[in-house]
Amino acid sequence: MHHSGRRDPFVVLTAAILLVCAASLTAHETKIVGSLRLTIGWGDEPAFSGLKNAIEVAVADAAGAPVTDVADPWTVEVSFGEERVALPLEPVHGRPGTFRAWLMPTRSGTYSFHFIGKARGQTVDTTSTCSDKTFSCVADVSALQFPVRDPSAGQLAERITRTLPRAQLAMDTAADARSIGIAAIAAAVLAILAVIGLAIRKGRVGH
Amino acid sequence: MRRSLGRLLLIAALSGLSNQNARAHAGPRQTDPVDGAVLGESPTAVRLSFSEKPEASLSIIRVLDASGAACQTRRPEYEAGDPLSLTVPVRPLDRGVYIVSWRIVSAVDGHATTGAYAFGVRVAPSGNALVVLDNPPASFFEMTARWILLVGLAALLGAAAAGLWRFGGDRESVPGVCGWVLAMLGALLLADAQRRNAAASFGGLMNTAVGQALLWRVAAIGCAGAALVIARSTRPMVRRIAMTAAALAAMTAMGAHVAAGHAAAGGAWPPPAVIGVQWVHFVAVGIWFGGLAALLVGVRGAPSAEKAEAARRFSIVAGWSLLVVVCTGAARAVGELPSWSDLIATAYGRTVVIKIALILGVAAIGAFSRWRGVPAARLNLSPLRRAGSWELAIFLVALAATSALGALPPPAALASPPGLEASGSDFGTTVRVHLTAPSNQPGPNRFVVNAVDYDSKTAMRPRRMSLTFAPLDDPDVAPTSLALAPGPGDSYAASGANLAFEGRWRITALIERAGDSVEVPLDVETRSGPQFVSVLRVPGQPPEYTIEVKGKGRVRLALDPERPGRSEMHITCLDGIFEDLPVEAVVLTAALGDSPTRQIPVRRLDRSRFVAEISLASGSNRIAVTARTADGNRLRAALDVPIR
Repeated sequence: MHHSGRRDPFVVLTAAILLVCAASLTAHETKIVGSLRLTIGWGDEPAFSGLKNAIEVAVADAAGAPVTDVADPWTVEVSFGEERVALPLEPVHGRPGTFRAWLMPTRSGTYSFHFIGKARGQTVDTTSTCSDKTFSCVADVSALQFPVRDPSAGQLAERITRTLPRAQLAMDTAADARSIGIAAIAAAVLAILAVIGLAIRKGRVGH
Repeated sequence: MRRSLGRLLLIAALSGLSNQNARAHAGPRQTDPVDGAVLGESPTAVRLSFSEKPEASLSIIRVLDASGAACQTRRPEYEAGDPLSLTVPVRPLDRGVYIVSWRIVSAVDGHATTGAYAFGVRVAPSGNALVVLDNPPASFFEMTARWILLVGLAALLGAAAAGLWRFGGDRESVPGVCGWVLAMLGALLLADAQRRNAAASFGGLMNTAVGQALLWRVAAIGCAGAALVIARSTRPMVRRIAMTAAALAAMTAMGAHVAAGHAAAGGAWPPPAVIGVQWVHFVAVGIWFGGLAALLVGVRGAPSAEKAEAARRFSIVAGWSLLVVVCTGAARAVGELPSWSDLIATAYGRTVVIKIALILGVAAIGAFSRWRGVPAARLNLSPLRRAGSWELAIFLVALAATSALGALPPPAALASPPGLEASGSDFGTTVRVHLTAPSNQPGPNRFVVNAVDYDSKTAMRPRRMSLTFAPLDDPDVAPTSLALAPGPGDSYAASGANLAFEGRWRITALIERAGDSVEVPLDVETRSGPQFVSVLRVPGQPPEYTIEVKGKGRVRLALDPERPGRSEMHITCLDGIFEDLPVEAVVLTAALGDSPTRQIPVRRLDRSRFVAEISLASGSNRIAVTARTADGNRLRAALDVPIR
């Protein structure tokens, strides 16, 4: 099974370095909204499913100076497929103008961030979707696992969810088979008795 | 006697499986852009790779836009360092769909292949990827030309053989001259047929490999004619030498014909071996058929002891010829007919069946002649002549079938190139994924993925599907990804050159559903052409396999011992002149017996040498070494080691 294959430490180390390098290349997406410059992305890039992360947005003015005087707390709506969750953004201590919302992505794939808020009298309502040109999409954490790649809790849950009905179906099938078997044995016994009976009768008629 | 007859019939049936000409017809193996591709920007050139070397000067590649206007800026040229590929540069292409249409003339045998496919620039070409491959129907004119040439060459060679083995009486020059005339006529007609095939002038044709082969044939037939003229001398020694020269010239013409035919494309064996087998087959057929014609001319008139002796001698020669025809024919048939069903399903196969039936007929009549006609020849030549005439007539039809085979595309040539195929499921066993790609070679490819529910097998239409490609043997190469778009039916498809080089790859299909996603890992292996392997076996020492990696160096593998069980594998990387090649890292993988491919740890001995412990299994063991040299080159050597 591929999840239990052992990995060469060199391979894992190199892969991890590459992923980190790749992250530094893709990093965050920069968006201009009016006079504001938003830098959007994951707190830890690349992002992996099953690992705690955060949605981050750095707000700056046209000159690049951090904007800290946001009116109300901003919110970010995170969407994955048809699933959505709205999270409040909080200022990051020690990084003025940067706001984040904690999140642990549980599935790999494409995530979208929809930011809503106000700063310096300007309304911000913008959406950013992960891609090669923006911020990283969420990858499966198994790429980082060593020495044994374990399935995630989600994968195990899926497996169990799928396996239980199959087990139930197998048990039902076995029960049906047992009933049919018993009926077949009964029919065979009856048939044998009938044959014996006929033989005895034929013997009497012969005599 | 019945047993002998049965044996003869069986032999003849097997011989009928042979095909005089096989393979050929250059089929496309890879295109760039690939069919159905959606490109983000205009390509600078279109490249097509074929199964055989195309004749660039006679081939046409057109890149047409929606209005039918040509977008290519020059004629096709060979890709640098790759004689199997042709490239045409194109002007900058705007957004739209483009059709690549080609007409390729094989440099191997002059046969034409046409086809077309579509790609798009910033727009999908259509729902379905489009590839149309067409082999123009075999030309009746070409088949006739080939038939006349074959009959002529066979008659010429048979007459020379009759002179040398003395079964043609004193008139062997008659079939010889007739054969020469037919051979020359056939060669000239074939030249015209191939000129028409290539849609070129005679001058243009003669500057190509196809034209050169025609010249060789004509020259050899010309030499045979000169020898026949000298053979009219009354001096026996001169006559004998001249007939030998005529035979050699006819055999040379046959060799030139074979080397410019389907056999030159090779197949399971290297082309020289296939050409050799085919040539021997032709020579045997020539001696058998032509010798029979010479015998029939020689035994005209009243019976005599000399004529009976000539018939007996020919019978022996024909028997040996039949044996050679069977062996070489069977060898060729095995290489050219991929499956038994091709015998019925293809025009080529049906022609082979007809030929089998005809050869059976010839063999049956030949057997009758041998056991009835030849013994009676001393007193009565009629049975021999009557049977021989029938034999000759059926042989002529069999040669016509042979000529048709030479012009028809053999099933082996039409077989699709090996593609990639992989199936798998996610850990949660919710989805089954089946991935296909038309080519198993590195480079541009089209990936088609079908995803179904694991239990119900119903097709899934996820919101998004993408593939991530990670080379398993090259940890320092970053993975790449490719987004798939809904394709025909329930499939998702996209084109890309993500499988950039030869080796093992893990393709991970990411399937994003409404609020969930699953990943399905699929392992595939891309393979380039066969590598040259030399084996050194010295008694008392482990065998050494040296695998040539074209243009980059060599990898030498030694298995100690080479038998099932634990073994030590020594890996040495060498440059072009067999000097040690410094290597930074080596990845060794092995598929031992029926087990899946896995990575084997290696230990470095010095800058070029490595050693690994490996457990060999009985049967086939596929071993692959991927080495990164200090100067950044990548050497990949793969070897199949059969262990008994």
